[in-house]
Parts: sequence; structure tokens; C-alpha cells
Amino acid sequence: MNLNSLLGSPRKLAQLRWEVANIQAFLDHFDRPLNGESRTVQLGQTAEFLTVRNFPLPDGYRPDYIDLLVVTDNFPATPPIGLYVLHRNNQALIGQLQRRFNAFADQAFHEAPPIRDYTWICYHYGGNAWRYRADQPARGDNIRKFLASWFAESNQ
Amino acid sequence: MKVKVRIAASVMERLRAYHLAPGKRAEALSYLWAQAYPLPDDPDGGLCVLVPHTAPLMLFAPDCFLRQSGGNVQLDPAVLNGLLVRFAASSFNCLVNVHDHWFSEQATFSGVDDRDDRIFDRYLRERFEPMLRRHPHLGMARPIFNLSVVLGQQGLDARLIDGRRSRDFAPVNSFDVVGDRFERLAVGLGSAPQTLDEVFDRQRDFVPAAQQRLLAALDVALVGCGGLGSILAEALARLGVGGLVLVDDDRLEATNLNRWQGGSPASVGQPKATHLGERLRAMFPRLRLRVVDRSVFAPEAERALSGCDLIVGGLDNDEARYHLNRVALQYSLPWFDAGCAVTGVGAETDFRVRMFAILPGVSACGECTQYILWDRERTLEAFLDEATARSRRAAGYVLDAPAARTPSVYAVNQRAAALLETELLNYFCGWRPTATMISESWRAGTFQRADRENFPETPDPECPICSYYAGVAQTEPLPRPRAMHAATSLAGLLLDAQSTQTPEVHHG
Ligand SMILES: [Zn+2]
Repeated sequence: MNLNSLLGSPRKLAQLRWEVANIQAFLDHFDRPLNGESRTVQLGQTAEFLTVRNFPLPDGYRPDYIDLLVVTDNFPATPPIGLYVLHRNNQALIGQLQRRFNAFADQAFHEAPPIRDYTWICYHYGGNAWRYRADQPARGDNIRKFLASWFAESNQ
Repeated sequence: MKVKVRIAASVMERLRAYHLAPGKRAEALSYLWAQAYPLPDDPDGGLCVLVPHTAPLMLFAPDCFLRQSGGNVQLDPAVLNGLLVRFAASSFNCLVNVHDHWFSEQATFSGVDDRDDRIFDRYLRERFEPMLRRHPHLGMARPIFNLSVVLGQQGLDARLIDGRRSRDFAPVNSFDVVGDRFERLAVGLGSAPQTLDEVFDRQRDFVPAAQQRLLAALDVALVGCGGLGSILAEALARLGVGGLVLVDDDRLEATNLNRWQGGSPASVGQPKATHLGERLRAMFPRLRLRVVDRSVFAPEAERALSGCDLIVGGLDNDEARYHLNRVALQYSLPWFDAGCAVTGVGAETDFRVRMFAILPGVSACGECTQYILWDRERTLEAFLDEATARSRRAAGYVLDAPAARTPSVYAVNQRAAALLETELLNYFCGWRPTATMISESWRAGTFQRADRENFPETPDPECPICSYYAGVAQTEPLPRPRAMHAATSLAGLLLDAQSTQTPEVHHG
């Protein structure tokens, strides 16, 4: 087993830590969610994904926050392909999101999902064109922009 | 100990412009950062040093030097210190110092150079490396490689320095410049030119002797030993390529015999790469040959490719092309790929032939070129993590298509192979600008050739493959279809996703 592929290279870890800080800055723009908890992002232990607790949802969603998981195992070669939302204890909210994102209204939600308690949402960021600048990640595409666009789209 | 250097032409040009500027009358010193990786299967600890087009290059203004004269130069210690601090924080593992003997045509290291190189190496070993181990916040603790280069107006000399070895100077054996053309520069005083094999007598009027010798010294990886690959391999050997690494994990079937060069009924069931190797060995006894009966995605294949100078692809799938694109960029290896297709039936029948070349750091890669070299969406599907792939399938995004029987014929394979081999020879001989894309349709009667002059597409600075992955060698894992690694990866993912649902949450 290649330890590198499991843990990610030190460079990738450094880039992902930058992404995490950048996403946290985005989350910090929002007021605390109704549950009173803080909004936080965390890198998974293997750097193959990151999780967000209490990601904001636009007005009209009840509750106005949801936990997310973004797979980053091909980062930064490709954008995340869709994202995962925590559906456990969230059925009503999932129903609301389903009206916005037709993609996950299908079988995925009803079958046993591959990641327990999470449901995948098809979300193509910029048609999957991915302009990533390792030297200046803020200038190109990045995971914060990916999540911010998803937030914007869930508002429409 | 074998030492190879592969440097991007754009970096070499900047070095030459700085060190060998017309009218310059003072010696100068510059530094650049590179990635060194071990050459495969070299018991003496052979090494390849990569300088990609993105490598940081430090060209100093005169006030950065403590002393600078016609034959002597010393960097201000404060400047050197600042440089080392930034190098420590980088992910590169090889520090290259370059100086010039602007006054001479050929360059060889002088006694003063020997002394300076040893002093700097002692500093690296006794101070710098221990500092990295003691203070990990300054940068990743790692073995540091120390390469020294001296440029003359025409030639150069280069060596790896390590005072801990019994011989502290290891001369560089090959110094390759990857650009619009492929150049192998003579190092030091060079060696006496070997006599050319009379086999190549009929190509000596148009292939210069230096290029014929270069071909003989080259190691080319041939990925794909099917119908197309079997022709490519033989054609490469007949051009005079001295070393071949054959990569394929497939076995010959009876249905391959309409196009597998040299195949006979006895070939059926044989591993393609091994069988091709046996045939080549009989035809070209002096050929350096290595057979890798493994998938191109296997780590063994990566290791074998990393020891080569160039990749030739005769592939039948886009996943392998997507993978090779990364190999080409991560190891700075030029990659020439041939492909063909028989399409339509009856009056619609067409024979299509295509070749493309990825010149890492020079031309756009397969991911950022305006040409569509592979079906990106469909190809990436194979590289998705297991969970997302299952979700997409469940959501109806992916349809499992039954494997189609691809129509194939020897003549079209020959045409594709011939196209690639002519362009490959041109890449070394430079008769006309190197082709990056050629496509031909027999039915439409079209032949389109994009080259480095009429379509000089450069790497997109926003292409992660051409920037983030350029020249990083084995430090970044290559993309492998999930079938190759799903078990470990998925387990980690599921385990972790659940463990993050525990109450304690840390701020990013
Ligand atoms: Zn590219």
C-alpha cells in the first residue's frame, strides 16, 4: 500500500489546509445557525475528504444549516464531483433540497448510500472546468468557490 | 552511479540569457530548485534530477554578490541565507547552483570550483540538513541533493556533490533539454563518439550522426503492445532507438492476429509484452530491452517509465492516456501517442488516424489543450472514489455500456505508427517544427497538422496538471482507476466519515 496515496503528499496537505482556512473564512461571514453551534470545517484524517458542520443554507430552509462532506481524493487535479449532505435526522430538509437539486431525488437516497448517513448531491461546478492555480489558489477555482456557488444555487 | 538531468527548455534559455549574455565580462552565480528521484533498478543509487518549467530560478542582481570579477563570484551570505530559508520551506529536494565560465567555449570545473562545491556541500550536510531535522516548522525534513552546473559559451559541465560518498563528485551522464525539440547536451569534455552501426547507413544522409547516436543512447517506454504497439516497437528499433521498455499486461488472442506484427498461431495465449520482447531480441540483439508484463497503472510500470527518456503510446483506452498525461508532466517526459479507428460501414467506412505529442512544460497538456484528446467526463468516471461512483450510478448518471468490439485492421495501425515515427524522428532532427497534433481522415481526404509554429499552444497556468504536478516525480500519487486501489481507499473514507460525527469538533 502506498502511504502517500492514503495520507496525501505534504504539498497536498498544505494546499488543503489553505482550502480549509479559506472555507472557514467563508463560514465566518454567516451568523450562528439556529442550533447555536458554530460553523466549522475539518480535514478528514486521510485528506481524502473534508467535512463542514452547520454549513449555511439560504433563507427559507428549515433548519438553515446542514452538515456536508466533500471528497478531495483527486484534489487538486479535478474539482469535487458533487458533494454529500448528512441526511440523518434531516428528512424534512432533504425534502426541501430535493426540490432544488433534482439529481439526488433518485435512488441514491432510498438505497443504502455508500457513505453511511450521507447522501450525494450532483453538483457540477462550472461545468467541471477547473482552473486551479497552485501558486495563488485564491485567484483560480478552489473548494470555497465550489461551496459558495452551491450555496448560491440552493438559493435560486 | 548514474546521474541524469532533465531540464525545461524555458529554464535553460533563461539561464543562458543570464549567464552568457553578449558583452558580459563577469562571472555570475544563480540557483534553481529541482526534484531528484531515484532511477529504477540502479544498485549504485542512480538519480534523475528534474527541472520543470515551473521550477523557481534565482537570478541575482550585481548588488547581491559580495564579490564579482571576471573569474570569481561570491554571493552575499545574507542573500544565500534568505534563499536557503525559502528552499527549506519549498517541497523541492535538490538545490542546483549554476555559474559560468563566460570566457570559454567548453566548460569544465576548475580547482576553485571543486573547493567551492565542497565547502557548500559541507555546509548542507553539517548545518542545513540537521537544521531541517531539528526545526520541522522551517520545512519538511528530507535528504537534500546538491547539483552543480557550469556553463560555457557552447558546452556545460554538471555533477552531483555529496561529501558523504567515497567519491564526492558524481558526474552527470546525460543532460537533456525538453523543449520544442529534444536536445541532449554534451557534458564536460564528452566522450569519444562511437562509430555508427552500418545498419543505419541508408538514413545517414538525413539523420545527422549526432542524432543517430542520441537515438542509440535513448531509452523509450512503449506503453501498449497490441496491434499498434507491435508495429511501433519494431519501427522504433529500426530507427535506431537503443533501449525499449515494453509495458502491457494483456495476452494475445486469435482475433489479434489480423494486425499483431509478427504474430503466429503459436503466439496465441502469450503475454503481449513478453512475446514482443522475444521477437525484438531476435531481430535486434544489441537492443536494451525490458519487459513489464503489468498494467500501465501498476507501480512497477511507473518505476520503469521513470527511468526512460520518452514515452510512446499505442493505447486502446483513454484512462491510460489520462494517466500517461500525468506521468509525462510529473516526470517531465515527452509523450508521443498514436491512435486509429475504423468507423462507419459500407459507403460510410472511414479510416481515421491520429497522433499527438505532449511536450511537458512546452505544449499544452492533454487536459488543457484546445484539442479534445479524450472524453474527459467519461474518463474521469473511472478515477472517481468508490462512494461517489456508486452514488452517480444509483442516481442514473452513469450507464454501464457493454464492451464493444472495436473494428481494427493492420493497414490502419501501420499508418498511425508511421505517422508517429516520422514525427518522433523530426522531434530529434528538427527538420520542421514539432507536430503536437495530426489527424487524418481517409474518407474526407483531410490531413491536419498542428505544430509548434502554426499552433504554439503553451501550458495553461491555471491547469493543475501543468502547474501543480509539473516535475514532482513520485512525490504525488498518479491517478489510478479505483479498480486498482478501491479497497484501502474506501475503507479509510467510510471509517473517517463516521468518526467525524462524534461531538468534539475542531476548528479548521
Ligand atoms: Zn495542462
